[in-house]
Amino acid sequence: MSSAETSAEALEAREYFKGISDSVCGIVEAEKAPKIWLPAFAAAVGLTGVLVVSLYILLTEGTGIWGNNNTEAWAWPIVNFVFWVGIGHAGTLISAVLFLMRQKWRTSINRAAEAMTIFAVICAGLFPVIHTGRPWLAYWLLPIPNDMAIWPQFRSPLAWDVFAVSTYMTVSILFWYMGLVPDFATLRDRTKSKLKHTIYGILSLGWRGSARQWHRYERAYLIMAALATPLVFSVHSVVSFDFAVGQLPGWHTTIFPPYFVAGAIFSGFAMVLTLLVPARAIFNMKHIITDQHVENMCKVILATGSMVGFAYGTEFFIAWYSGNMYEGFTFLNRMFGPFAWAYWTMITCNVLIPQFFWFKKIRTSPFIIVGLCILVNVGMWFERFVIIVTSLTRSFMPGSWHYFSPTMYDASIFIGSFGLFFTLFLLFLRFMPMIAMFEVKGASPHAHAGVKHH
Amino acid sequence: MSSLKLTKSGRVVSNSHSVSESSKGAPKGKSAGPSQDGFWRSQADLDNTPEFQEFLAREYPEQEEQLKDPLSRRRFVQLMGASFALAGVSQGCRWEEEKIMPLSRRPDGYIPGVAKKYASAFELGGAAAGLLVTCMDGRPIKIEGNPEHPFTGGTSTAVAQASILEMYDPDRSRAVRRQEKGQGLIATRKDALAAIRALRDTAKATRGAGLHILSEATSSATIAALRQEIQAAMPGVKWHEYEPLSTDEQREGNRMAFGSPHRTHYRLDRADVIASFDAELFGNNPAALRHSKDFATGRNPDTGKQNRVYAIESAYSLTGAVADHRLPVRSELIKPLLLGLEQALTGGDVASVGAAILAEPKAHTFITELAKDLAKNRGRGVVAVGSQQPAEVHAIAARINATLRNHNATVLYTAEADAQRPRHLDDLKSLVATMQSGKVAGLLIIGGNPAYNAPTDLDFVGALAKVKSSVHLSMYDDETSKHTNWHINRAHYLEAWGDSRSYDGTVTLAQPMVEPLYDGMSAIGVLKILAGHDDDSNQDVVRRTLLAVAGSDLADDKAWRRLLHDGFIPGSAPRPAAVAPKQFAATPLSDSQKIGSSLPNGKLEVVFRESATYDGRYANNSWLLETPDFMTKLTWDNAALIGPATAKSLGVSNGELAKITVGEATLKIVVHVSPGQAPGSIALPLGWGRSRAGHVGGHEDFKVAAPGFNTYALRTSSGFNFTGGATVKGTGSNYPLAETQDHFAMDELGADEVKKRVNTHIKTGTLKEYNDLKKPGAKGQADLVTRDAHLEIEKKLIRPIEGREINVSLYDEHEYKGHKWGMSIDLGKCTGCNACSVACQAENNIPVVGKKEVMNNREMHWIRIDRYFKGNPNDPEMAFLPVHCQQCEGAPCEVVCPVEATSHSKEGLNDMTYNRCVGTRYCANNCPYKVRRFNFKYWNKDFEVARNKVRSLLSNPDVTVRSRGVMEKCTWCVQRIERTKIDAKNNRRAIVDGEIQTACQQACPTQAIHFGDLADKESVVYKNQELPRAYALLASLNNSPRNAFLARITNPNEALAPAKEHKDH
Repeated sequence: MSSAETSAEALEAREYFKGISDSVCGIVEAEKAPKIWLPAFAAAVGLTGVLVVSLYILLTEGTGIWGNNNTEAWAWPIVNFVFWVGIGHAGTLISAVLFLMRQKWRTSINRAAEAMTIFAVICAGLFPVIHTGRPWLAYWLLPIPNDMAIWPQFRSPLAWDVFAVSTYMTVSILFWYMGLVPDFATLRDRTKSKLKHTIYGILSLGWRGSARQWHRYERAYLIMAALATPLVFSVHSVVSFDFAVGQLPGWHTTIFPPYFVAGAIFSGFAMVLTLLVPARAIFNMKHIITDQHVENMCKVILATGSMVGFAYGTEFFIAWYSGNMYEGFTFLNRMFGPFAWAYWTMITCNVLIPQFFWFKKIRTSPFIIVGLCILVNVGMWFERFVIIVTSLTRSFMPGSWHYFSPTMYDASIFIGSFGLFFTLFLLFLRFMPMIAMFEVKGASPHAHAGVKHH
Repeated sequence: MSSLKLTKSGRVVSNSHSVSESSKGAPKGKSAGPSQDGFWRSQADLDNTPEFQEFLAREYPEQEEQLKDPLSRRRFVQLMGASFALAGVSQGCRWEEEKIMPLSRRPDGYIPGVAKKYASAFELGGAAAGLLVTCMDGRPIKIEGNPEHPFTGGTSTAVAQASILEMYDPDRSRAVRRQEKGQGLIATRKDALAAIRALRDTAKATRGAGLHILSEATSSATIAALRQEIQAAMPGVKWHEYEPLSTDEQREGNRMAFGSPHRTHYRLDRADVIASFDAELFGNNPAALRHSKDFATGRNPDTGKQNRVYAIESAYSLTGAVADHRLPVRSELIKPLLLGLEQALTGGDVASVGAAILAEPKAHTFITELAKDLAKNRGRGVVAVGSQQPAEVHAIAARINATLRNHNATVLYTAEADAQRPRHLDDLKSLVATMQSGKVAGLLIIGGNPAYNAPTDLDFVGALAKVKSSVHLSMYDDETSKHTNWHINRAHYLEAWGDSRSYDGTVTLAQPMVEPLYDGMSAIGVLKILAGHDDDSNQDVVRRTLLAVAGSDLADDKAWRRLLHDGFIPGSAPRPAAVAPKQFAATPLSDSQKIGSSLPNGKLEVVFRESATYDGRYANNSWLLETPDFMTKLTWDNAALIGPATAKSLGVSNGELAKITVGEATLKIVVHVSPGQAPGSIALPLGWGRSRAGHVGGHEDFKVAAPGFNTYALRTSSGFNFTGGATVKGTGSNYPLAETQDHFAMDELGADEVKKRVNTHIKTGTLKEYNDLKKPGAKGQADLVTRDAHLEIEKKLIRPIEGREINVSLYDEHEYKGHKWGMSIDLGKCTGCNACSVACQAENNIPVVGKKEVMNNREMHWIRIDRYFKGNPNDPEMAFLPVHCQQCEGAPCEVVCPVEATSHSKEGLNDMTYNRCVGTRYCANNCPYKVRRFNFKYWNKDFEVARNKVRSLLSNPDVTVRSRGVMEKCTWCVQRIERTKIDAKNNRRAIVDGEIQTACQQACPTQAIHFGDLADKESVVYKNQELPRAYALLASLNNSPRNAFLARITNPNEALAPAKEHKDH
């Protein structure tokens, strides 16, 4: 191979790399955000305001502003918690699991997915705290040494939850930030503003891009990925224990951990698509987040959706096969009882809707994809609603059966949490590199231009 | 002070005149003034400065006298209690400087924080219940039955339990008021005394003619003595008595049967067959406590003594709920059925009665089989008739009881002392007629509320306008007070001396527990003034009268002290009278009585009955309003009860507003479709829709809408208890009902499941099945099985893996070195009367949440009574399941609490550490019995409103008042357990079985609940738990509850019993 050839390839690669840096950094560096950003941000902040006002009323009035009651001691807030934790699964899965499995296509979506994970976990973390009757004492769930020598009760899944979610949150943030370091350095090096230079300078932790740094970085990233991988499976497994450990028919089942994890990946990917398909159009990223990426994610949704559907079937089969009267009724009641509408919404959105992704035509139509993904998340919200609320409404004692109705505040806090999520996500899109530039570069064929296969 | 612009004694307020209400303009931050609540805060309040004197005269004219008095020590102790509770209450000025003074020496016998119990009496409708009232630091906090009382015993009713709340009701009238030109003017107590004296002076001139006294029913010997005194001085004074829920029909029926009025007493403990004809033996009945106790004595399948109850009634009563056989028929058909029974008993032709109902197969078989059963058990049967049935029906029943030789065996009679008294209704009618004629110069109304509850055709209010001077002595400034010239605020029965007789005639003393909170006068006080005495103090006259009744010397202090201690005079009940039945002419059956069970719209029957508010007098009592009705499980409302078939034919649905027309009057009321309500009959609970009850029960001045519907609007003197000719028309619009339990109209899937579960949750069996079960080695069949077999059945419900033991635990078994508390509840004895629930509420400071929150399913009762129906909704079988915390051995709530706020005690209780609870509510989800209650809001917020502060005096200091965001539940009255343990330890003695009683157990009129130490093999609870019919609720879940339910054993007549389905579980 001639050196001219090599230099031409290298030139081409340099152009390509520069193109990536330009398009990704360009968003951050641009004086003005795309037209749609500001109204979207205003709307998100507005919804966050709704959340803040609702939380103020919640803290002054008490949990009684919700529809929760003595029969349905848990309702929307816990549904929302599980919903957001579920969404917060895609990021780490894409970053860590797919990294370990050498799925290179992950590089263009992992950054945004990780950010989404963190924001979703923030939203999720909000709910268990505000859900307690005395949130100002919620820190008692933490194992803080105290002079009364009182510890949390380690037999309670809620205590496990605290550890699982906080560990997941910590590792996700570390992993995300670690990935950001080289890109922050790129931003630092490109910016002309002194202030930005300082800020990105601090954030990039003195990254110089030396071979030694890259070497250590790659090792550390691999270790982090290995650490984060079990967490992807443990968090939602532990969340599922909240229910599986309980005695309640409809909760008390061993299938929950895998079923919850599959559901979480399902909803997480749906959320990633919901966010990234419009984002790549708005920020002109179609050459980085290609149709192939979108298609791959659609396939993941199809696969996990089918797993979830299989889990629903298994649950039913076991409820019948076990012969347990209480469990049998709970499942019949889900299908045909007063909350049948919620159950069939769930089945439609989670089992039937993903089946459309068998068709390539649909996997390549952005509008339909976003529509279907939103429906998937509606379905996943209802899945948690069906599990939590429907089981509680009709448990062992018929004298305590009750029909659950939510209140305005149930809705306002849920909608408000979306406000918080989108506020954070829009800030991320505007001020941080939404695509892992160095990883995309590394994964591109140009990176291997000099190393021809002989 | 400048902002106070008040006249000396005639401050104008628009009919509302509670002191706190009207003193909003009071100065802020003035340290010399008393608190705005009519309470003392500091000794400075009591200083005799001229400013203070002036302030007093202007602000508290009615208390001026008393405030100037030097403080008695007794009063001071009481005030101290109030001061502590009220410290810091002021309007706006938070850091007001206050002084309080400690007692330099402790008063004799007073130990702060140690409860004292005093005997007293609660009178309702002229019948007393003996009480023991627990006082803590000078304030009464809990009512219990007086165990030594020979008639009512140690149990109590829900109403008696709740009557203590009435005493602390901030809506009680706090001042005397006089009516002038349509405006209420605050007056002083002095003015009130003057007004009563004026009545007397006017009447004196005519030797009493023109002066009428209308009293609520009372059996007080003191009042009788004062009445005699008044009438001796002024023979023209007329005394009238009226009760809207009266037992006079029975009295008049006995007059028909025996020639003079008699009171009927049923000795249910001696009865093997009890036939109740529209009789409520255990609910609204002056002898309810005794009936309940006797019924329970006669219902003990373990000793083999088991009575049989037949109930023939229109609306479900507690009697009907526990009956072995029930026949729902219209109230007017009781007479033909009773005549049919008489025919069957005397060998006559049942058909000769000429009523279609007797030709209907069910009723016919029922009556003929009942007759056979009664005849078989001559002298061991009771035929009881309800108080709403006309006199004639009572007379027929007396005749039947005589035929059955039940007289002097199971049915006793005592002569009525006031034989001349006319029927309450007739008495009121004649009074109103006199009032209309303008011949009433003075009218003194003692208690009662005739403007609200008199029959509408009498137009009591209109007649009242023609009375020259009217005075109403009442605890509330109610509907009647609005229309009288004077309203005098009345002392609560716990605030004044008094006496009354229990239904059997035992003279029972009512002792005051505190000085009147609002300086009210008692009936005795008012009558004393009217009789010409100088003061209205009432201890002396009560003492004089009662010692006379007891036959002791007035100076005999020992006898008096004995009376104060016992609370009743032993042997003061009259002996049963020998009665000889005489002939009387029965009226022929009316046309509608000849019609069978179905009636067309327009001819329907309406039956007026008591409700949670009794007759409306407890309409402002939130405990009672929030207690679910035993049958409908409805709170905060009354409703027209219509049977399912009738509702269907009328085209009305549950929760629909309907117009009910009786004669001229029409009432819009919500419909409750009630299983077991007789076809063609509509039950209308009385006592709701008040216009001047208070902030809870509705008040026009406070703009508080009244809960419920005023059914008195349909009540006339001709259709006083029940009447026909009613038309029902649905309006199509709905009204929200706060039911604590889904009623039977459920989706089919759910309803089928309930049916399945009821049989495993509520074990029932017949006496025969139970006797079979007791044989060695028996496992039982159908729904009644041994405890082990029950567990086997339960296990099958959850189908464990073949060969694998399910009752294994992950955790180690608890070890018990000392006590091991346990409980048993006999479902066969539970009448669903709610006494346990209200007693628990009083004992454990359980808050009231209001209608909206009950609709949100957030009621706080620690013990609830689940009510289930079986069978045909038009003629169902009803069963109760009282559920409180089962104190599981392997409690599912304990393991899931992340902060260990609920934990297992060393004595086997599930303790709640309220201040550790952060409110995750996981425990509530994991409790299969759903007994945990969460404070979703700050339910005690109302206490902090200045006018409601008085309510906090009622709180039991031994039980934490729970804050917002905390989970709570039944603890088996752990505070009582600890108290007894401490006492036993201090006195180095062992705890005796039965010494510790939980509040629910103590109140339970049938004593269905037992609590004790399972480690003690001799304890009742241990023995109960070992009975073959004992079982654990949801045993298969392996929670090992420490409460055992005893299966409900019925004793059906085999000739009537439907073939029992033998289901394979």
